[in-house]
Amino acid sequence: MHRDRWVFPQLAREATKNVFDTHSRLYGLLVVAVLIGVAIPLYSAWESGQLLTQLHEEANQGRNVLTISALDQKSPAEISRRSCEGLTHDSDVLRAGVRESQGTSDFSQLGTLIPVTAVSVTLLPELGHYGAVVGNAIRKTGPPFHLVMPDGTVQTAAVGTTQPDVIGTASSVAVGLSPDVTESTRCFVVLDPLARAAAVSDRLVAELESTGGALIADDQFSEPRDPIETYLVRPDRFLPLLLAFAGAITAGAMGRLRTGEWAAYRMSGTSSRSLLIIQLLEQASIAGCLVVTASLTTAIVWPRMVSPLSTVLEAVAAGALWVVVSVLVCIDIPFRTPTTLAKDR
Amino acid sequence: MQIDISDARVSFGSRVVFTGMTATFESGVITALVGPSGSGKSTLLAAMAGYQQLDRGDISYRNGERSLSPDSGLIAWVPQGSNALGTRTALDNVMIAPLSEGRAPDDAREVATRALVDVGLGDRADQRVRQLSGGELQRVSFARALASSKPIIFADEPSAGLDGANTELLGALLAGLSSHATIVVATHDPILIDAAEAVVRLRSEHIHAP
Repeated sequence: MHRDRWVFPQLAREATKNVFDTHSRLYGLLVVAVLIGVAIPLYSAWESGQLLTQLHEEANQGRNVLTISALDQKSPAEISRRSCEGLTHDSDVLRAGVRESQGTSDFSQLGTLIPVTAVSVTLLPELGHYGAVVGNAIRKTGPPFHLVMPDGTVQTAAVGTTQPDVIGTASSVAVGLSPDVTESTRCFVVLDPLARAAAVSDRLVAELESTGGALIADDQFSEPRDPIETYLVRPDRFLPLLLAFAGAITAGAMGRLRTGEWAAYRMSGTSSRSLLIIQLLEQASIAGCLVVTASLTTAIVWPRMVSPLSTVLEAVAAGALWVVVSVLVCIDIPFRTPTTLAKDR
Repeated sequence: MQIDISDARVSFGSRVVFTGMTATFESGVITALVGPSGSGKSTLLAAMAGYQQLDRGDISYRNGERSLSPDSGLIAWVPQGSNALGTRTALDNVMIAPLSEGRAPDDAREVATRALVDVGLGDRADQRVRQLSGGELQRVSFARALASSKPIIFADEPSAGLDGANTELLGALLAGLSSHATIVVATHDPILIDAAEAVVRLRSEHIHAP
């Protein structure tokens, strides 16, 4: 086979001039690749936003909130408060703690027969800043205020943020749990929205210290379709690859229309191997721009994404697909004789 | 480098393109390969480059006492029509040849510039090729071949599609070339035939009647 003496930097120079010259045929394709590179993370961020909104709404209804208590009510169990609150350190757990009802009381500023609940500060972190947290079903959201307690003392109070119904603080006044409380029959755990409750509940139960009967974690929220499962198997996840495939087919088709250019190389002494390298470098440059653009866009919008790394990896896969498909579509061209290429122009 | 052809025959299926072809293309000489359209001039060039197998006969290159088989690596082509990197400059197009021979970019630029001057396009070096006329484009192809250090240049119907004035220019260019290469111009254009130093004809006895 005929060999030439092209050196790699000059082949790379040829490829970049063929791609990045604003007058080149491939420049339009480069713009398309950059647009795909921008679109992939933006679409991913939009999808993430949809998922997080759904998860947030379902979290307020109790999704991913576990109530750990005795498996058999005839064999009651006492859970150590310390071990329950300690679950907060688990990477899948947002908050955890115990809650004890303290009956009802009259509050001059709120009304009569208001339920009062003592809650771990690890379960309701606002109690770390205020002496009492008033459920947002009792009082409209507003600035902190002084609340006269039933015993006549005055506490700084705030209206609490929306909590899952299971925690039950929306319609009560929550106060800090006394240090004297060391055990409880129930441990409430608020999981990270992206955690898989079924996968982590056994581990969390095992981390608890308890006496009495066996424990079980109960996720009272039931939804026929888990939004995360739905998200993971969504057809849209193939969109980056689909876009890259379409771009690569277009790139390949354009390559097949450039036989006059390929003939110019081959008729000037360029070997089949060097021409293949030029084609490969051209497409790698375009695909590289797709990946770089996708990575930069991801860096900008990553706080809105569920998994920025996955998006970057999707873009890398899309770029690789672009190179492979576009080169395969034209794979015969470098190996045709220069005279045939010249005639096919 | 001299090219010797002895009793060559090429066919495609049952169609014989030419047969009994014997000729010599002298080293360093511009030779017109003449024959009517469809007579197999391009096929013979392809065979001389080693791209086309002969059914019979032999083609060899002779360099002094050495005899070589056809080798496409020794040939620069001037195709018919506008095979070029359309959006690149004339200089870029011509530089391809010396760069493919491993020359450094500055060296390649110098060689390419000289070749463009030789074909009368010294002042169009930075012009994008698609902005050139058909005749100028053909001269760029010649410059690219001249800028290579290949010992053989094949030009296949270089005047195809050119008007009379541009063909005259091409003829003048051929006649004035000071290349050491063996140049074979496949043509049936009288202007280019006149510009050549020798003529090899694909005679009727070489061409199989359909």
